[in-house]
Amino acid sequence: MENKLYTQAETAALIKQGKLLIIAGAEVLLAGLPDGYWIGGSNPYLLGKDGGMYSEELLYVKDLTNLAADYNMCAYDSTDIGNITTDAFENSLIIAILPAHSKVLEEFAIRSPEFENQFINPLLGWISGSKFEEMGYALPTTYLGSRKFTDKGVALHIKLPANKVGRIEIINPYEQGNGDEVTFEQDGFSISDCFVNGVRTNFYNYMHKRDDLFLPLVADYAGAKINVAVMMDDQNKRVKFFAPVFRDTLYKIAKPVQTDYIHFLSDKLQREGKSRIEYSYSCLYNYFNFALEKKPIPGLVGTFTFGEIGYQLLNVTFVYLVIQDRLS
Amino acid sequence: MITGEISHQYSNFVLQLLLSQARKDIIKKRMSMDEAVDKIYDLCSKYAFAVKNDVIEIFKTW
Repeated sequence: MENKLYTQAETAALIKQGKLLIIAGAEVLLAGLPDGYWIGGSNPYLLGKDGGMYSEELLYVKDLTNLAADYNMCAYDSTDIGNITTDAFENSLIIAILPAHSKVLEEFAIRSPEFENQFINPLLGWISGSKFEEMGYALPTTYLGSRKFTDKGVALHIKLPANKVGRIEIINPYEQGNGDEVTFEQDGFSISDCFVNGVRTNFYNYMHKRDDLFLPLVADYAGAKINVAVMMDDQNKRVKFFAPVFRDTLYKIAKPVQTDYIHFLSDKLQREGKSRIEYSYSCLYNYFNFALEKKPIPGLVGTFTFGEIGYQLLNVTFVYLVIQDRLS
Repeated sequence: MITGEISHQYSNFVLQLLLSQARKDIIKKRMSMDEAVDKIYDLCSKYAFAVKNDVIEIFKTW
């Protein structure tokens, strides 16, 4: 399959051929696709050969037919999303798409680190959204074949051949700054108070005094730098987050990044050597913040998402999947 | 590795997340140390290629 973005007609033809697909694109295009072996989600921000773009004409289509020894497609709501890891095949990939602003996303984001069987198989995917200017009233969608949801996540469980293993890695341009240590007394997407260096502080006031509101909070998970993007809720004098903060985790405001993102990303990807990047996606924040419109990233096509899944909900991160031979 | 007494920046993403979660789960008594060791052993066996450099750096052997 050619490494490019596809028209709706080209995508429909692949579906009719019985291909096993993951599809990202504008809702208007997804709604016109035929039933078949595919999952999808609304997301009109794509990375093509010519760079990042907003498109209502093209789709990002990933064909996983040749990788699947077996597969299963499921929809999950907020009551059963915890089954996503126990429903997996023994040696498999779990690829999920969850709608932004949904209860199922909230449940996944808070509970996924503690899911039964978590970390046994790669759990990856992304959050669907809509045109940035229409967020809030255009509901993000997910698709299980031609079945459309706004309140359910969808997942493709792929059983890998016994001699193959899937591995997820992330690339994060941000790292912890040298400033205050910030902790929270509860898990959540919206917070009023926090502890700054152990002292109870109103987090809204704390952030309001800073001039670097665009910088995420960063936690260190045994070397993995995990971002939480911040949004000021001026009406309610609270701080909202695009992924939850956790009460038993220490955060710091990120160091400012002054880098050529494309060069940075390409340089980091070189660590994989000859391993092929099977599937990848990046945060929409990177698209805007690093001005990636019309800027190609050599060798990559994909999608800019409203949140990334790498076992748990991530923000402002590039996530990729590598399939490699299992070592005996 | 589990207690965090070995100061090492791991390079494999899932090992990083599992170690971090295991530390939290042990503190919360949701997981025993033995269970954590088994989980990490299984993971390192599966991702031998990806964790080999970390293991060699820590234990000086493979």
